[in-house]
This record gives sequence, C-alpha cells and structure tokens, in this order.
Amino acid sequence: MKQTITNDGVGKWVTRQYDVEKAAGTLQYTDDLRFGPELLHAKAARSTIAHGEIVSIDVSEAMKVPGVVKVILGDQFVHRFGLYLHDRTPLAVGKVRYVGEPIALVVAETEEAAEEGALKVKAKYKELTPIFDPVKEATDNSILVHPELESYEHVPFIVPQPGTNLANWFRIRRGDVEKAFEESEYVVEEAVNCPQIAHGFLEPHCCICKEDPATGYLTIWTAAQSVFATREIIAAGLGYPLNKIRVIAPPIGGGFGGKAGMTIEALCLAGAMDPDVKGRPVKLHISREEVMLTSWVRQGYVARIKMGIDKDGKILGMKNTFYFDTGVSAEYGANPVRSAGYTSTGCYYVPNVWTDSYAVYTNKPFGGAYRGFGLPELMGVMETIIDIAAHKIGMDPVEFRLKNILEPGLKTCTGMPMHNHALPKIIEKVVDKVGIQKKEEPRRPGWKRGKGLALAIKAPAKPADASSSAIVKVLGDGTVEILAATMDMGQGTYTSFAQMASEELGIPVKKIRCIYPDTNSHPYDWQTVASRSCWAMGMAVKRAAADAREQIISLYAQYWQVPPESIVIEHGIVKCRSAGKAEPLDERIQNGFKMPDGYYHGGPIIGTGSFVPPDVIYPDNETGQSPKSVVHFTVGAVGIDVEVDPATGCVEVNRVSSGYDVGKAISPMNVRGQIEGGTVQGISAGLMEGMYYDEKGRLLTPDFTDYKIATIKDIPEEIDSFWEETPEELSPYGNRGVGEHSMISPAPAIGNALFNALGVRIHTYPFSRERVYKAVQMSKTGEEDLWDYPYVQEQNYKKAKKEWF
Amino acid sequence: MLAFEMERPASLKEAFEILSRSGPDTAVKAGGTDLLVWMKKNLVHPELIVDLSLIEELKGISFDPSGGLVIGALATVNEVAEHPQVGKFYPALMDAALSHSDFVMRNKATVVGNLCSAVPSGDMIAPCCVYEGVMHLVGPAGRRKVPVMEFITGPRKNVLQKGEIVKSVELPLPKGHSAGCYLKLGRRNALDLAQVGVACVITDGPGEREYRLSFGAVTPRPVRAKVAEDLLRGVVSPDESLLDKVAEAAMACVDPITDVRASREYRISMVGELTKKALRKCLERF
Ligand SMILES: Cc1cc2nc3c(=O)[nH]c(=O)nc-3n(C[C@H](O)[C@H](O)[C@H](O)COP(=O)(O)OP(=O)(O)OC[C@H]3O[C@@H](n4cnc5c(N)ncnc54)[C@H](O)[C@@H]3O)c2cc1C
Repeated sequence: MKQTITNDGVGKWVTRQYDVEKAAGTLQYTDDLRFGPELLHAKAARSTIAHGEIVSIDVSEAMKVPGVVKVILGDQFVHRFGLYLHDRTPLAVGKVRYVGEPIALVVAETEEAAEEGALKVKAKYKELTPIFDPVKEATDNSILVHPELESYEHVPFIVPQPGTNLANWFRIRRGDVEKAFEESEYVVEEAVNCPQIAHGFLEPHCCICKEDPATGYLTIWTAAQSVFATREIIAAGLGYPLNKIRVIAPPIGGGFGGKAGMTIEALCLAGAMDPDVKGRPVKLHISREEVMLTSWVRQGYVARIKMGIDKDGKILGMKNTFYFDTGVSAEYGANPVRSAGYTSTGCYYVPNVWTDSYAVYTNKPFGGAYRGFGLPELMGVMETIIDIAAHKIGMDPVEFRLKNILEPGLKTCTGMPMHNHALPKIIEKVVDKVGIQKKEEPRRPGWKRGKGLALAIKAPAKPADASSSAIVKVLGDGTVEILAATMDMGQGTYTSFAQMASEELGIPVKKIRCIYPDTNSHPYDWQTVASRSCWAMGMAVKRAAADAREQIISLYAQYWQVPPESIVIEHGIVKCRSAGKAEPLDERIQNGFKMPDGYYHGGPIIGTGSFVPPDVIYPDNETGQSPKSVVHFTVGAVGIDVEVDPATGCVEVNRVSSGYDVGKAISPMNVRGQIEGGTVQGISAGLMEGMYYDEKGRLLTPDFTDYKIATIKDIPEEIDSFWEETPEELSPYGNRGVGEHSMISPAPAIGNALFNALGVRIHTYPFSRERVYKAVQMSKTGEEDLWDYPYVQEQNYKKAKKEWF
Repeated sequence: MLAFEMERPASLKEAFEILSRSGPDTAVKAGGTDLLVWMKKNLVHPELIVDLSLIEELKGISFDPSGGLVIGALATVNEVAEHPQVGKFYPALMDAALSHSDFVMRNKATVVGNLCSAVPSGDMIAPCCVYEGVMHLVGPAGRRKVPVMEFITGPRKNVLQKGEIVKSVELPLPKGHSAGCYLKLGRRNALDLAQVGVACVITDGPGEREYRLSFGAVTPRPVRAKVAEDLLRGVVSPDESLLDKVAEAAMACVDPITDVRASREYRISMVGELTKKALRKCLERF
C-alpha cells in the first residue's frame, strides 16, 4: 500500500523552483560571485587566420600594459582535453586551426588591462591552406586539420580515421541495400544541407579557477551544465586525480548543450595554474563574440539519402551518407554524428540499411552538443526526403509516413526492437489540429499558405554506463534537501525532482529544495544532457527519497510501537490512524527519537539512491548492430501552417501543433514549457539561423547583430503542445526524455509547408527571407528544387561587391 | 572594452570648452548605443568621451506649424515616436522610429545620433530625407545648417569638423495634405538592421501632387529617387503599370553591396517590391 499522500506529486501542475529569485534578479550566477581584490582577470588573444604554423608570438608589448601580470602561451600549457576524443588544446600549440583560436592568455589585475594586453599580443604565422567544405575534405584529404589524429586518445565507440579528416565514422550495415534498390519500384535520392548554428543562451561562459599553491588542489566555479564531466575531462587532460579538483556550478543562464562537457575551464586554468599567478583566483568571462567563435556550435551538414520503395509504398532499403562539419574539434561533436547514425532511419521501419555518418574536421569553430544532438540534423534531412518521396510516388505524405512507421516490435536500424509508443495517434491529432490535408485561404491578402508535417524521434545519446546518484536529506524543520548534480538551467528539472520526492515522501513541494551542484557535496552524476535527467537521475532521486521514507517510517513504527505498514506521511504529517497518532516532521528527524525504552534512536535522515542503465550494449563498430543500443526513444510529430509573402519571401507561422509521447509528464508545467520552447527554437533555426564565414574563414555572424534568433514577434500566434503517456518500462514513473525533442522537427515541417505553399522544394536551411524569395521566383518559372550548397557561398561572397568606394 | 575617461558637461558652453582642449581621440556621446558597441568591439578607442546627456539646450522636441519639427540632439527615438505631431504630420518618421531596435533601446538611442553615425542602414536617414531635414550644427566657428542629404558624406562619414556638434535636426512641415510611410525589411520582425528601408511621402502641396522616395541600406550616401518621383508627379492614383515603372526607376538609383545580411541582388529586388508596397500604403493612408 502507498504510504504517502501529497497534492504536489508526480503529474501535478506545481509552480517552478527558483523562478522567484530569477524574476527578482537576486539569483547569483557565476559572474555575480565576488572574490575581492585577489581576483585576476584573463583575456585570450586569438588567431586572425584559419590555418597556419605559429612562427613567433611577441608578448613584450602586452607585458608593458600596466596591470598585466603574465601572458601564457600554448607551449607552456600543453594538455589535450576532450570528452570522447582528446583533440583540443585550450591554447594553440605550434599551429592555429581556426580564426579565433586562443593563442595566448593574458592575465591582469583588471579586465581592461587584460583586454589591452590581448590586443597587443602579436603573432607571426606561416599560412597554410584552410579547408571548409566537409564533403570535399572527407573525400580528398590532401590537407589535414589534425595530422596527429592517430596519437589522440578516444573512447572505443568513436572511430577516428588517422591520415584523413574523419574524426568519426559511424556505420550501419543491415541487410542488402543494393538488392533492395533493385527490387524497388521507385528509387528516390535527394540531399539536404544546413550551416552550423549557435545556441544563443543568454549568459556567456564565465569561470573562475584557483589553485592552492601548497597542495595543488583546484577549485573551479563555472557556468557548466555538468560539474562531474567538467571535472573528469580536466582531470584526464591534466593527468590529475579527481579528488584534487572541485567544480562548483552556480545557476546558469541557459545551456542547450552549449555548456555541456568542458568549455572554457581549461583555458582559465592555464592562467590559474601558472606559477607566476601564485594561487590567486583567475576569472575568464568571455564576450558574446567569443562565445560564437570559440564554444560549441551545432554542426553543419550535407546529407544524402537514397530510398528504395515498393509499389505499395513500403520502404525496402535506405542508404544514408551524412557529412557533419565538426570544425576544428570533434571531442564532443563526434557523438551527435553517432547519434544521427544509429537513428538513421528516423521513425520508419526499413529492413535494409547502409549508413555512413562522418564527422569531418574543417578549419572552423567546433561542433558539440546542441539540443537534439544529431537528431534535428538527421530529421531535417529525413523528413524532407520522406516528403519528397511521398510526392514522387504519388502518395499522401501522411499516409506514406503511417505506412512505414516503426511499429512496436519492429527493429530499428541497429537491430533493437522498438518499444510501445503512441506515434500514430499523435500524427492523427497533429494532422487534425493543423488541418494538414486541408487547403485553406491565406489569412493575409496576396500571400501563399501551406502546411507541413514532420516526425521526431530521439533516444538519450550517452555512454552505456552514464550513471547518476542522489542524496535526499530530511532536515530538522521537516523540509527536504535534494542533492542531485543535475543542472536546472531553465528546463525545470529541480521542480520535477521535488515532485518526485514529494510523491515518495508525502511532503509538499514547497518544503523541498534542490541545491545547485558542487562536486564536493553532491554525489556523482554523469551529465545534464541527452534528455536523461528525469529518467536516470530521476531514478536515483526516487530511490533516495524512498530510502528516506523507509527510514522515517521505521523510526516512527518503533517510536509509536505500531506496525510500519500502519503509518502514512500525509502533507508532511506522519500519521498512524489506528493508534490515533499524527505528528509533524520536526527536529527529532535530525536529533533522534526518545524511544519507549528511554534510549535515543535515529539521527539525521539521509536517503541515497544510485542508478546505471542495466541493459544497454554499444552498437558494433563495423555494423552498428546491438540488441539494445539505447535506453528508449521519445517520438512525436509537428504540424505547421505557414504563409509566405511572395513580394519579400517573408514567412509567418500561423499556428503549430506539437505532440510527443513522454511516457509520463512528471511536471506538466515544465513539459509544456519544454515543448513550447523547443518549438520556438526549432522554428527560429528553420527560418533564420546560420553561421557564415568569408572565404578566409572569418565568422561573419559573431554577434546578435548578425546572428539572428526569433523574437516574440516572429513566433506563431498559436502554439499547441500536447503529449501522450505510454509508460517506459525501466523509468521511475514511466517517463521518457522530452527536453530536446521539440527542437527536432519544426524546421523540416516548415520546409514541407513551404513546398505545399510554393511547389518548390528548398534543400538548404534556413528558410531565410532571401532564400524563400528565390524559391518564389523559381515557382514562377516552374523550377522545383532550390539547392544552395553552403560551401560555395563563401566563393560567391568572394566575388560579390562588398564595399562602396 | 578598454579604459577611458568621461566628462559630462552641463551646458553647451562647457562642452565646447572641454572639446577645445581635448585631443584627437575624443568622441561625443548621446545615447551611446552606437558608440559603446563600437568601443566594445574595439573599432574605436576614444580616450575621452564627452557625454552630452546633461545638456538642457539639446533636449526636447518642438513643433511650430510655420517652421516644422525640431528634434533636439538628445531627443530619443521613443520621444519622437510618441510625439503627437510626429504621428500626425510625419508618419514616415513615426514608422521608422517604431521600426528602430526595440522599446528598451529606443529609450536611449537618439534620432540625431542615428544621423551622425551615418551607417547606411540607419533607420532615421531615409525619413529625414523625404521630409527634407536640415541639421543644425554648432561649433567653435559658429553655427551652420546642412541638409541631411549633404550632412552624410559616406558610410560612417559626415561633415562635422573637430569640436563641432549637432544641436538638432529640423524637418519642415510638408505643404498641404500629406501622407507618408516607412517600410523596413530585416531578417526578422524586430530588432534587426534594415536590409532595405523605403521612405515615401505624398503631398498635395501648393501645386500638383508630389511624391518623395528615399532608401536606406542600399546606397553609401542618402539618396532620393528623382526619376521615380518625376514619373509620379501630378498622378493622383498611379496604376499597377506605372508602379512597375516607378519600381524599375527606384531599382536603378540604388547601388547596394552584398554582406551577410543580404545579397546585392536581393536588395535591388526588394527596393522595387517595397517601393510599390510603400506607395500603395501611402495612397491608402492619404
Ligand atoms: C541593440 C541595438 C539595436 C539597434 N537597432 C537599430 C535599428 O533598428 N535601426 C537603426 O537605425 N539603428 C539601430 N541601432 C543603432 C543605434 O541605436 C542608432 O544608430 C542610434 O539611433 C544612435 O543614437 P545614439 O544616441 O545612441 O548615438 P551615440 O552612440 O551616442 O552616437 C553615435 C555617433 O554619433 C555621434 N554623435 C551623437 N550625437 C551627436 C551630436 N549631437 N553631435 C555630433 N555627433 C554626435 C557620436 O559621436 C557617435 O559617433 C541599434 C543599436 C543597438 C545596440
């Protein structure tokens, strides 16, 4: 029998934790921490060329700037860091590989002095030819970004190809695709491409590092999503024991994957660990321009899918070739490439599959984690090409999708049987809500209206052994503290954890608080990424809270001399109805109970819980096959209704409906927030986002003047979000991940809607006004496909009239 | 941003004293929404900033039916947008003001600062050209008046001499019944610099119907579409074929560049499309 009663448990609409402090502006972020006059400031001097050998770096002028303490160069701090592949040094060593790469770190008494010093660092280079086009570089390999690739350490499930620009090559080999194509009635082969995009979180990266010169202990305060991953990556890169590194993460102002793994901390350590800094804390707070240039981006890609379809519209075979532009480092970006690869048939059942998913090094800023982690990329291609195929074979795109849907029990491309899900029902609802199959008159006179559908799928992309643990403490005033090293960066996980603890403990949510992570106080968690926290850490929190509950109940059973089963905890009050007892949780929970025999028992209640996924096996490196390659999938669908102004190419979204099978909505308020937010982020990416470079590899979109993100005026009037609840077996409450999924498919849905409106297929993201205008012009001449190869854009740009004289 | 010094004079007189003894690396600041961004990006490194924001003589907006509208150097874009006479007599300026950045920025950014910055995409430039604005300059050598069209001499260039500042910009009242509008195309619906801006004014003047057209972000210096304006002169309700000819003439008088915001080709097409839209809208409002 359930022994807890609460109004705020799992599935209830409760208000979110830490929103009050955020609204009042009193929540302290990393930049708000004060370290007094001891604090030094660091600023990086950066490479002005995309590829070259460093001939010399002159720091003499920088050292003359009043207040400059030290200028550190790459050869004074030679450490390779990386989550999956150790290919990144915080400062360039010997060579620069992209415009913006740090070449020196200036440490000074003030921010201004550090900046002036950085401007005065002068470097001489022997220029090398830079490379930018992933398809060309993957096939040609005449210029290598990392000739030393062979010597880099990496995890076994990443497969770099030394002597090439391939940082990872993920493969699926299942059945016989060539035979499938021969047996097919139709063969459709199409390609789609997309530039790199950036997260656009509000808070730029900030960190403060300090080394105790006596012991070598390092303390790092940082805007990071995952304190333990940061610690592990730094420990591995420095060759340091874990216990000598403490990472503290104050609240962060948004992440979206951009603060996953280790970002600027190692660069800051190059300053803090310098002997001349003598143990003073060093702060590195980078500007927006530096965020855009030198932290993760979502990888650009060029992707091709060939599909064989029989006369009834069943897909028989699929051959996928994905080139991901991973930039100068794949230490993190190698994994979205894998994630796209092992989901490379999308939401469809395809018996014969051949997939090559490549991470290709180029001389550009580097790819990493971004909400969706390979799946917005994959589905950006898949859902476009599925739509094209449906039209080519003369079948309704909704029907074509349903016909090939990955029904429960059918095998995914890795050979894992699909679990139960409600995707067909979700599709039906979306189609109905948006009227996907109905033609409607435009709302704006003279505009063209169209509707589109796209499906979404994603599994948490993480190592098979990504574990979590949590501590639940019941305090002497009857409140609860949860130590779970997940970062709540706005997604609302702390509210979900509080609801789980409330469910298990019978204590109201307002008496439960989650504490921001510190590796010294919190037990281990792998990372806050992959939509895994409510699932994996959720399990640890549930176990820890249940452990605490059992301890409380057994103490009261002894105290009241009643059977433990007769006790319930109801809204924070412990009751035994049969014995007529009801007492609030109070200081006895902390100090112990005076038992009938006169002795004290108990003491502070601390519940603990741990979790590691029990049954995942890595896909085979040669074939991609595995009995269970991932813990579960979350599936969903997006329907969108758009209008185009043919005079300008401007696209307005009338309405959008997004539904996902979340298993169980732990915190409905946050589930809705995640679906709405991700939908907006996906629409933004689809309509306007892209990072562009000139022919020398200089970023042309280094700031929010030119990197555009949707504002409130660009988002639809109607965002309908809903969910289905097909329980997940292992999960704490049947819940699945939902944090990333809503970002996956709005962009292809828009593309399909534009095709519906204009009769032109745009194969290149984003659907900017200029590009859509081009499509409108093509529709007038009956052309059907618009394809702007992103890497020739630099060449066009080279020839264009760029200045007035 | 590098370290700098700042002075905040309380009067024009004091400002000129400071300016006369300051070195070459001095910049005046109104709202600072351009200047501070340039400093942060290390495009300029002024050693001294003379902040004008306390100077009473530079504040406010005044309207006089015989003279027109006088916008003081410190009048913010929001003050202009909210001024009743601007809405009534200068709708192109009002549209442009509301298309500028966002509400928060407009509380700081000034109209005169926008003209002084002389960035070709500046949203205040084209409307001030169709209203035939005149800049009032004051400096060590005295006062002078310069039409906006001549004040801006190229991208980020103007005629200001060392020590000289702009006191105000004056926009004469359009003669007779008039209508106007400003259309701005950006990459999204708010907070973007113009890919193309089109300002249009129609007046019934003392004589025949007159049209004025000016464009933002597509020429290095302010421009009026004289040929297009002449095609329309005296026509009360232009038909679509005339509008097409006007659009052609408009496209012929611009010379945009390609940058990350838009290609030259798209900008030229948009000058045509937006000119037609602007004319239709003005006629609707007339
Ligand atoms: C987020 C953001 C959004 C923006 N959006 C837009 C937009 O949509 N449209 C647009 O056109 N602009 C935009 N801008 C640019 C900027 O806001 C405008 O150009 C603004 O109007 C400039 O006015 P200011 O008072 O801030 O000028 P300041 O920055 O103070 O000065 C700009 C320049 O003019 C000079 N100057 C200023 N006043 C005088 C004077 N009285 N005499 C002589 N010289 C003077 C200064 O020395 C400086 O060189 C934006 C800027 C930001 C930061």
